[in-house]
Amino acid sequence: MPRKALVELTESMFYLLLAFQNGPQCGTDAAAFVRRASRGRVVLGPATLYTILAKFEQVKYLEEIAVDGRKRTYRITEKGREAYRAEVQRLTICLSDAQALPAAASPALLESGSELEWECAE
Amino acid sequence: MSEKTKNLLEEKTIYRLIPCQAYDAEAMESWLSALAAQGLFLQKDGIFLGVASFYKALAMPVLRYRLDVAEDKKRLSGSTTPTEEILEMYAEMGWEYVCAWNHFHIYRAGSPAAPELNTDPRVQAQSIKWLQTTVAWGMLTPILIFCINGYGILRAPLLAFVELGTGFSLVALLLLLWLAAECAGALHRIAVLRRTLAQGLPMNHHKDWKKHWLLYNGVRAAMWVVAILWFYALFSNFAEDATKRNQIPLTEYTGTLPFLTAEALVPGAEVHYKNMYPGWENSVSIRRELFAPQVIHYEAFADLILPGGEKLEAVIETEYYEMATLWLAKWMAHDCTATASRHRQHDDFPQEYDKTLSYPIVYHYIWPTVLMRKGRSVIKCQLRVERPPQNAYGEYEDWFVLTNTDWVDLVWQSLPD
Repeated sequence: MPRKALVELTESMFYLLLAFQNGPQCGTDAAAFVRRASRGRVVLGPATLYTILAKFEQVKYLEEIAVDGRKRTYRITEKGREAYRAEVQRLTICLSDAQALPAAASPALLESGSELEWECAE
Repeated sequence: MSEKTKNLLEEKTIYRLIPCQAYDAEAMESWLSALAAQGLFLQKDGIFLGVASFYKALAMPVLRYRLDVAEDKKRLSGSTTPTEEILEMYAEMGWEYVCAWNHFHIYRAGSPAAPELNTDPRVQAQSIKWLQTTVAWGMLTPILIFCINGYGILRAPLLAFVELGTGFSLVALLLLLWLAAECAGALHRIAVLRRTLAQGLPMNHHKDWKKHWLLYNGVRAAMWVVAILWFYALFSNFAEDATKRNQIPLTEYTGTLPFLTAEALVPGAEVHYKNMYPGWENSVSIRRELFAPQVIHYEAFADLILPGGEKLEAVIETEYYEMATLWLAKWMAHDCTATASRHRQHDDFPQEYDKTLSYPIVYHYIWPTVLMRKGRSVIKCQLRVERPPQNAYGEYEDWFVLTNTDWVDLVWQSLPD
């Protein structure tokens, strides 16, 4: 069973980690939070939710802290927080890179496909 | 749609052949959803050997069927049945488990409000990776077992083909090729699906399942016929062995055999056949195969009373193959030699007997065994001639009356030119 950290988080994975920043909760509560937080844009289907939870447990991003019947409550680990912070940082850099692009204010220029020069954000 | 709330129109079960190839999850989803729109709903555990059973209820055009990889993601149950935890979580989100098919679990949702089962293709691709590995190992294992157990067949394929019988071998070969093609096709389909999902593209839930169903079901029906024929040939072989139908007792056989026999061993000697052990048959069986116009198995155990009154005991067990062509005869001789080479104690004879191959050889497997090819004839002959016990302890003296060279000469001369 692989134990290595995930190389890249998908959007669903990122939002699930975001959900657990609020504290321990069960999978379905986390899925409901993701839907609210993304204003319905990101929906976690049951298979996706279960696969990610299992994967996060494997790579120690989440740990199970309580089992009530068949309901399992998870808590984010320090490793999971680190992964979340790293992803936030990566996305922030992406965003600032995009904002540094002069054409960002003019989508028509981007669509025209003309080569543009811009300064990379520091 | 739960079993309690379904609006049954008919109590009877309706059967349908699954029109999708193994592991074609997209086509399966599309087919099941299409049938649901016609009012046919897959029964619980309703798939067996490529046939799906349905009940008829009020048609539900919005009913969705989705397939989830049957991976025990948390290794909780140790089996591929969904755990109670999964069943409950999926049900909470509107998905009801129906049955398993080809390493997939089939779920259905009647409510349009239920989210898709898989909403992140890249996450789904990870499950497909597990499926790919599982299926590849599942297919590799029988191949490895066959390679280990079927080593003799792989080492001497023509000998195995002729010995097992043309019909049985051809059908078995056809089945193996079909299975190999099915395995390769399944792995290809899984690889394509994984690649699509890994690119972030969702599964096509409306795949045209009608496109290849006729061809697929035609091939599958043909293979079922072939499989039945194979079983028939298998049991025929067993029955033939058990009943010894083809065996003719030597005392009743009046034809001429194209190799050394007990009768021809010592000219003028009287031959008295006897039983070596209960169930032993002094017999000959002759059959015809595709590549070998004549395959003869001969076994004789007899006392030979020489003209001078001396008594010898002789055993000859022969497997004789008259092959259709010289090339096939050389191949058969090669296969027989490959099979014999595991017997370490053997002597190669000078090539004067056969200019193209180093036959005959003689090796000791219980008794001296001569193996040689002459033209299109290949013969393997176990031989023993000895004098009965001469001393008070019942020990044999002159264990082998004839030398290996004597045997080779006798067998060589007896074969047709």
